[in-house]
Amino acid sequence: MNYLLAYVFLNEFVIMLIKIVFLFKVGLFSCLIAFQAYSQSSGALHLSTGIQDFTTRDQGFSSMNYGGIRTASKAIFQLNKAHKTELFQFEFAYGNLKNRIGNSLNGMSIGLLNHTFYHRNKPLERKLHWGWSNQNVFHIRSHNGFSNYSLRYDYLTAFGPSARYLWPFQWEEQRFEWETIAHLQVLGFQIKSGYIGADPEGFSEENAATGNFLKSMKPFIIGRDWSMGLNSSLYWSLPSENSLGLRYGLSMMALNEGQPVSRFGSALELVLKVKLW
Amino acid sequence: MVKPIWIFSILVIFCCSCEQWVMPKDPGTDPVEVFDQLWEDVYERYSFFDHKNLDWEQVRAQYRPEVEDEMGQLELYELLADMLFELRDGHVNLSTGFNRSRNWEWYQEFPVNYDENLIEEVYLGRDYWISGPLSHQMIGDILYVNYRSFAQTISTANLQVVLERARRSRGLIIDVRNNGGGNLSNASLLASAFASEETVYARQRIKSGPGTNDFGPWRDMKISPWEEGTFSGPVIVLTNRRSYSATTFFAQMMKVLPNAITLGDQTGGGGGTPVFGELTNGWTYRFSATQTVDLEERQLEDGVLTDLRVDLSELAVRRGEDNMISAAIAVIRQQ
Repeated sequence: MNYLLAYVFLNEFVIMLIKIVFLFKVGLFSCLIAFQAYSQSSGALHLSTGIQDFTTRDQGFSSMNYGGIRTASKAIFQLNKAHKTELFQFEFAYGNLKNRIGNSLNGMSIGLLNHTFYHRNKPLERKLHWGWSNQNVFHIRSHNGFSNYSLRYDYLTAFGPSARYLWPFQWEEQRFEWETIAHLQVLGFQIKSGYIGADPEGFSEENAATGNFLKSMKPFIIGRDWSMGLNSSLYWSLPSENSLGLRYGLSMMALNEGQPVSRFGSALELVLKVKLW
Repeated sequence: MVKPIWIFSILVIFCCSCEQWVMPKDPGTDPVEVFDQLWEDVYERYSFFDHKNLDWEQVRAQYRPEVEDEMGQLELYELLADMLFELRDGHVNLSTGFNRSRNWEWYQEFPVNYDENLIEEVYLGRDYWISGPLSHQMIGDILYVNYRSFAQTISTANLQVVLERARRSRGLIIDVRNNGGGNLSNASLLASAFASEETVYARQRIKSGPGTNDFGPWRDMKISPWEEGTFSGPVIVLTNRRSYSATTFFAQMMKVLPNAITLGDQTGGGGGTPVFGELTNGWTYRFSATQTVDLEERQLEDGVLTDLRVDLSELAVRRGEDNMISAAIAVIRQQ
């Protein structure tokens, strides 16, 4: 009887040992795959801040343009892989804007812009890369002269083509890189304040949040609506493999569903590009 | 093959020229253009054309020929003010640096029904309580509360004091005669102190497009019981024709409550929430952009009718009595 118990125990022990070894092998194999992938990629973080000359018009407020200088900041995470480069750009801008008769509004923009560019296994040669982009941006503005209906906003999610031109060069034994990125949004959806008030058409306090979201959505279609941007940056490579740069960016948007909204901005920013790995 | 640098150069030039394309130019400041801006905005966003049976295109045909490029600012102001006067709406104003147009016909052609000196001398006296914007005094065993502007915010402490005094009284009179309105949230707060349950008091809809009948769906307007406590005893609300805008809404809120009665003359109206606009010559304006109806589909723009119609008697005033307050006291004592 004791012999039988010892046999069963030994058998269970061996099975457990086999399972542990198998799990160890799977874990090790996964780590190796991940390490291999990691070693083939590189990451960088771009931090930038500057000023933006911004003009906007919301027919729901006024037929006049509001303009002024806003502060603008961006944080971009860049992931370089063997055959593609991905950029995840968080952007924020805020400022007080005035029209020609002195009335003012406060405007704030928060956005997430993603680019994916496809290329051969030499991303740092002088080259044009094509890809696609996804823009998600929220604009809110508060009019300082109106007692009622003084708040309006719009939100856009759209997809479209994107292009990047890279030109690394040397000058006075220093390494520089010129980068221009352009995007044009083609198709997506928008949510805008209503004809008079802040709430979008279709919004109701009776509906659930999801219902309101779906009822407030309107298509974003290129031709009627526009959203595009162009950023050109000049980087100076430091010995630490980080870079300092200057970026000039243009952005424009026109959402013509309901009360037309249009905006145009040109920004100048200082950029610090930090190599992560 | 075209070099990429040329493609991007063209793109940069294209984007730089986009501003002209994307951003429309501001309209001009000539009198004709200013007239057109105002007329068009009212045409597209004003909410009572159908209700008032007003043909705004006919108004344009009447006034536009009088606009001339050579006319001065004062002449243009007077013309635009006259045009806006046609809307017969107390929520319509044209504000310039030198004057503000208005239509006050909603109370000017009706009995005043309020004597402030009489209230101060006879009913409030010299030792009345002041709780924020609420002035209150006991008249025998009944609490009299006077609220002169809903623009003045009522705090929680203000309302608690009034409710505490009301609970020790036989009933409450809230006098909102000559209260020209203000913030709707103050009206909702005050009314919530007398609501025992969530109650729909009106329905409102907002303009949703440029057509005269383009509106969003009707939405219920509700009052809920005040979380700090409520007063369930009898409440009489005194109104007159100068009770306007938020005060009209307050009268309607109180009218649907089972323990409240409105007494006096109907309110002046002001059932449309005003939207604001601006002209390229620097003037600003406002006009109604919503419609509100009571539970019987009657527009609040036309005022809220009282449950008990009473006018202030000159004879009573001469003998130092506000007969509307006397009527309110009598109603409370009957209950």
